[in-house]
Amino acid sequence: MKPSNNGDFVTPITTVSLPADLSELEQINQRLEQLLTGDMQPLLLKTELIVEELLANICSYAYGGKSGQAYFACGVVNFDGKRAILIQLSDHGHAFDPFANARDPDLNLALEDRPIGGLGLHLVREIASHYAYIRIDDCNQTQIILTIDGQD
Amino acid sequence: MQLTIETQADYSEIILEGRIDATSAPQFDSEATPALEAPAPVLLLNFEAVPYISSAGLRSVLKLAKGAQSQHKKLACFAMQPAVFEIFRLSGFTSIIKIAQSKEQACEAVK
Repeated sequence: MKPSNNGDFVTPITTVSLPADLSELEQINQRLEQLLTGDMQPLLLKTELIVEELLANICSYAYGGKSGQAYFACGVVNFDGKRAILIQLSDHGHAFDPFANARDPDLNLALEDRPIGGLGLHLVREIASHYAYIRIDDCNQTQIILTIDGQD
Repeated sequence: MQLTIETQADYSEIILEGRIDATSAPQFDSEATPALEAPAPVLLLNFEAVPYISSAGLRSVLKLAKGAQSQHKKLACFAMQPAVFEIFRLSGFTSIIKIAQSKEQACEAVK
């Protein structure tokens, strides 16, 4: 599909405010299922994974164990002339770049030496075609682009 | 997620059904642990009906695999869907956990 002005190349995106709590995942996934149909459907599970890992990161670290809000947006955008999925998660926590702070796990360790955890952001970086962190208006914002054909 | 344990003489099979994510991983942890207590020396994880796993689910699988190792039990997964296998591969789990196509091959792999 080529870009056109009739509005079906991209989807309008609305940012949703929700409690930074993993119990929100079920509702988020229902929205994603409705949103990512047709040519975007093959990216549904990857999108759900990225949203879960980024939300889990906010739940664990953004508010130091206290409750707070997360802001979630997802839709189809025009990325370099191709349809791609944009995923955006934000929080009001202290400035924190999850991509700069997550260490790469050592994937060569034996079973007994592998630490439990620390894989979430590794998976996001591996699966995302592009990822960005922005400190904007006192918010941490992560943006992910998922293209149909992968890493290009 | 639903988790069922079927115990045979030479292996225990953990049959998983549904998504293994941050919301269902605690249930996986509590319901899979009894399989470590079963006398069978082999633990097989049937992934056929699992369409999705996240890092929270991987953490649960890793904990179970470590538990099995510390009790000198062998563990293998089988019948994984491609999307789930890809997450295992990206996490480096394919080199520390045996993953087979079928139950028969999983039994062979842990011999």
